[in-house]
Amino acid sequence: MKDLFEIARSGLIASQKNSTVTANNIANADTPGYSRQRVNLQPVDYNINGSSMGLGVKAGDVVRVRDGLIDKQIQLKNQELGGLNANSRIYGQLESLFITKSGGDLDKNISDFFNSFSDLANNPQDINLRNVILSNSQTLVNKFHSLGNGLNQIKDETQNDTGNIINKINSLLKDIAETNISIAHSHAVGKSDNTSKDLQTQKLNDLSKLIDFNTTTDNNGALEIRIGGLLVLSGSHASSIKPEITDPGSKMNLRLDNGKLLNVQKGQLASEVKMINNVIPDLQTKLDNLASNIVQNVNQVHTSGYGLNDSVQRNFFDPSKTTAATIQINQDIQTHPGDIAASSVAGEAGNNQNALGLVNLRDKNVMNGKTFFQNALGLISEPGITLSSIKSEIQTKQSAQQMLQNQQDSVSGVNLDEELSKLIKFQNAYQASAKVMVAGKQMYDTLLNMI
Amino acid sequence: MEQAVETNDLSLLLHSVENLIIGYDQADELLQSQIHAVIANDFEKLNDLISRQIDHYEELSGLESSFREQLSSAYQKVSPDNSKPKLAKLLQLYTGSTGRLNALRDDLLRKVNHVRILSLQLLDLLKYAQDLNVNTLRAVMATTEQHGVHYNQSGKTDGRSISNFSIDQKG
Repeated sequence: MKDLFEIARSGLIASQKNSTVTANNIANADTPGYSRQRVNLQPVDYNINGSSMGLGVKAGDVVRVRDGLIDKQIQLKNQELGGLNANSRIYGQLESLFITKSGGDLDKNISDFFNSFSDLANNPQDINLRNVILSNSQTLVNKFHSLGNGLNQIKDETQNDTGNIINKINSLLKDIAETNISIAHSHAVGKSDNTSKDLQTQKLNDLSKLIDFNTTTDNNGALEIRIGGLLVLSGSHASSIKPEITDPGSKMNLRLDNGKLLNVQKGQLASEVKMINNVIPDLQTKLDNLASNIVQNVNQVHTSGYGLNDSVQRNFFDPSKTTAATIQINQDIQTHPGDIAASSVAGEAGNNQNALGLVNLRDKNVMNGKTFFQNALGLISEPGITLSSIKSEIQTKQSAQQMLQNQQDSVSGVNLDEELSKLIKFQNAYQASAKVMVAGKQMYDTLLNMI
Repeated sequence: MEQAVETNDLSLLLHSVENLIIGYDQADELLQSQIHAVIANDFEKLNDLISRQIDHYEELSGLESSFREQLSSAYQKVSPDNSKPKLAKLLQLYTGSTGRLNALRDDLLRKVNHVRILSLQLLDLLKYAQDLNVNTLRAVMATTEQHGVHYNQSGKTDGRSISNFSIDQKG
């Protein structure tokens, strides 16, 4: 008799655990990051005099139905997409800075500037045309200032955002360390803490959008995380990352709290650091070079000519201010448009040779084998071209990520209809079985009365 | 009279009891398998075992009928009261050697009782599983608030809501 009770008791426990898990699956059907769970059932055998007897079933661990390999692939895609999305956002800002809807962009400003000298060459003594030159020059200078300041602003905003990302990473590492404690405690008593594991997977997915990392599991079931080969999380201890910029012009470094330099390759943080250290400074350098070349070349020609009022040779732009952020028109020229040097000979008001020399600069390949206009066009188009390519890459990667997510959902997601139909199917089978049992009981009673 | 019973009827009864013992061994095995199928949530196996169980009951019912006929026939010869024939009584009234049939009767009695208890255990398990299922279904209905909409003859909704599920707890 004992074996019968054992079978029934183990059956009741197993059935109860199974139903609880099904109910839990259903209740969490809409919970983000929840993995479907199932009970591992193990048969129990009892050995009597060498022969094995079935003693029912043992309800084992409740395990998560989840594909770890897909999780890793999703995290890799998250890293790539996190970086691409950050690039897309910043390149979008850069494109908006360089290309305006009104069309008054740097290439047009340069073109207008040199074209106004062409008009002056037709009538070198016309004071109104000289004022037009000053107006176009100021527009060009303002554009350089606005672009220079705009780049600095985007860089500053990106640096602030990097600080926020680092805070998020540090917070996620702490959260994962906390789940490690819970998982290790359960592991120590031979149990599986599925809720903490789900939470950990979700946190890892969030982390993977921000930074690239590798994970391993230690002997206690706890997760270890390495970033750029450096251990940043082990057991309950999580290191924190700090940004480091020694002075405004220098590059941003990332350090762990133990002082080690961190090398990040993928994810939002890596992209933003690359933007701060490489992409934006590169654009700033190109913009400064363009401003500096215009100042030098225009001044070189301008100082060889004369204005209407005297025989003094003057710079058109202030030669001490040669960056995009500082470029300025010479104060004398600004206050006396007559000092614009259209003539190549002092005292010859009708001479236009110097003005023609300045016009010639428009079509000369003075910088990188290209004209100023071509250089400006290349510079302002660069963010837009890169952005277009990034957007296309994002679409491809998003499709791949969606496919992986669907695969994971089909493995670990809870299908409410499936769970319900399963319950109803079982209910019908239980009812059928019970009816057969009742019929059988009458037959046993009849026979017992006869023997 | 008693000699007639021993030579003819008792040998037939002995054969019937042997068949019933084999039948109840099979019943025991089928019930054990059903318990395991319910515990393991193995729907396919449970359905298969239910149909096998029905077939087997028909077989057992046939064996039981022929046993009843043989017992009635033998019992008539030793007792005028044939309304409730019983093998144990027959063996008591018979003065000759009944060792083999007695042993088989004890064995059958033990096996039928075992199967009876096993079927009660399975019934308890099935009732428990059904109750859990009903509770789970109720919880699902409560959490998902899955209700259908009732449309009247003009094709408009009339405000009544209908549950998508109905639960037969009687089993």
